[in-house]
Amino acid sequence: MSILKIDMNKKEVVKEVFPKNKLVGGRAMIDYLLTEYGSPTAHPLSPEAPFIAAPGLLAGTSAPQSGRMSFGGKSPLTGGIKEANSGGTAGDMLGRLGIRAIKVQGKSDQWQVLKINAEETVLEPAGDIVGMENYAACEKLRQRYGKKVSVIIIGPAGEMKLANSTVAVTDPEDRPARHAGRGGVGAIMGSKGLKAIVVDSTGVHSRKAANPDAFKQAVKTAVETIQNNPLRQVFNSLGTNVCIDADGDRGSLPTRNHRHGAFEKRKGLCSNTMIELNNARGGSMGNACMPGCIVRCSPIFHDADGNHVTSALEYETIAMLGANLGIDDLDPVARMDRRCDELGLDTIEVGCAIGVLNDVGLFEFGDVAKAESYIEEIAQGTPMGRIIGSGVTQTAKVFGIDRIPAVKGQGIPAHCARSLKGWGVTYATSPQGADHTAGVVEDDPLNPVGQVERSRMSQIYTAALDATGLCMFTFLAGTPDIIASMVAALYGVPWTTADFEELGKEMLRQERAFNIKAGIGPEADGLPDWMRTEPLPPTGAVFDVPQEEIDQLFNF
Amino acid sequence: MQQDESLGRINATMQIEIKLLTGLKRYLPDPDLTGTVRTLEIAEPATVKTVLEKLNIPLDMPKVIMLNDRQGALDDPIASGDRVTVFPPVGGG
Repeated sequence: MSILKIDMNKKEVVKEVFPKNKLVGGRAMIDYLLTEYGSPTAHPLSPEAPFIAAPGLLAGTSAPQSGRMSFGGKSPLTGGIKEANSGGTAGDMLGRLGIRAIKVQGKSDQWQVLKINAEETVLEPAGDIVGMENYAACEKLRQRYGKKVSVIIIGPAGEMKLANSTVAVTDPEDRPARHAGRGGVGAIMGSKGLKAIVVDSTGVHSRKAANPDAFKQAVKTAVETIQNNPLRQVFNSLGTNVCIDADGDRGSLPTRNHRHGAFEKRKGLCSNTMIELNNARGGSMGNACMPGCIVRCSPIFHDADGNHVTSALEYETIAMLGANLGIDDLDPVARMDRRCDELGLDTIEVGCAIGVLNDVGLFEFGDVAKAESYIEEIAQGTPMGRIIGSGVTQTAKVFGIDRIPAVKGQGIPAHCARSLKGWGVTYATSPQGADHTAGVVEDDPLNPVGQVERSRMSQIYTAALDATGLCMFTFLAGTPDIIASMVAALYGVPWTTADFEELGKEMLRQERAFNIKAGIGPEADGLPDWMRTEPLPPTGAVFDVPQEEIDQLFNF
Repeated sequence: MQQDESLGRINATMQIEIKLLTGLKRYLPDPDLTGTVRTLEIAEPATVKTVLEKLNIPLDMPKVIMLNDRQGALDDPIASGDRVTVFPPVGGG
């Protein structure tokens, strides 16, 4: 197993042995390497601030849905530690190649492409893909490096080093539709002068387990558990977009700049509408984002002429660019999703940022043309585009807006904190800022009692899951013994549920310690004050989990 | 004669499949038996709402309904052989 250390100043690649049995991967690898090599006080875009990419502990094996790929560093959006992960084909390939992490420091004056295959790892000039949008750039890279490569790439937003820029990973259809979306990881990669990483694992077999029989049995158990989970069928048939109705019904679908929790015109956005459009136009539900996926939750969406518009049209995007902007039509939402994928922008943050402009009369809800024009301003790099592309907190600051849906500078996602109070505790406290994947809590959503404990456990288990490379829709975080068995058999070390839990705790400790040194202390662990006083229709809920309880979340 | 036909329609029943997931399993007929799927005999005509009422699932409880492979709504009509799945809200995306 190895770690690639890339010095962009010298354009030098050093391949070092990574201790095989040091069980960090994915998000845990970001935490570990950033703590080891990153200065909490460095500017996030300075040459010495590392950009880190890491597949999970189970990447490159037959473990189901284990190819999530983590990207991170110090976030230009939050100023704290950042990990964002993505599906796509690169995680599996890097796992096969035995690469546990890529750490990039320094800065190249000319944009570079990092080429990784079984024979070599080299930096090459990016050439004509500089300034290109993601789909075209990936097509060029396939022409240059072969059709079997997986591409990790930043779009124009990352090149502009916007605080809301993503790292995209190509999917099994070779489209850059999978994004490590949150926290501006694209800008961190861009700040090194690195435009793309091209991975080719052609001819390389999947990783061999230390205890092959035990690993085979553990994988079999995992596969059966996922197959038997009823949610598999739900996500496969309806996509994550099932939440438009589910959250709409319980008053937790952010609507018109987080002013309502239900959208009266949600029918235009819901799963059934998507399925009908797909059936008529040749789009499809139930697509995989990585090899070995059993759930296959992703839609591929076509326009009225039957042409592909976008892949992975997910709930968060549909809610934040749809309901949160008062837009009730999947076609413009899909177009905006495609533009965000092309430019390398996080759709949650864009939806939050355009939403707040309503407060100062710069956006009318339902105005599709205006929303699309703002995204084009980001593409053109106009001052207004750069403001919106810097996220909701910056946008609000520039326009004197005091009602900001964000925590630690990161926009609040599409499950309302006030009417899902446990999830709200996660947004309030996660070292990642407001992040819907940092610790899901669904229980007793309107009751403030017991939510801190639920969020604490969910954040610990989710962090550990993010170290393995397993997708959260394996639904295995609730059965950590199955995950621990796979890790133990693969690495040939004793590793139990207790180790899984301790890993999650240690990750959160490291992340929090980094943040405190970066100037983001416990005082940042809260939702915006207005969420405690402004009732959210139709439930009328305010966020009323006592702050004293929230302040105890990290006491473990 | 007319009355008889009408009565016949009212008395007609159909079989559907129901599937109640995770926390909702307690609303299944014979909840202590294994599995989450049951066959339910229900009077025609019926809607999703009729089915939930027959199972005593509170209509205001947050939930997601699938009718066959689509998302279901309370007033969707039910036909013989349909599969109704009900599960607690899920998050993601």
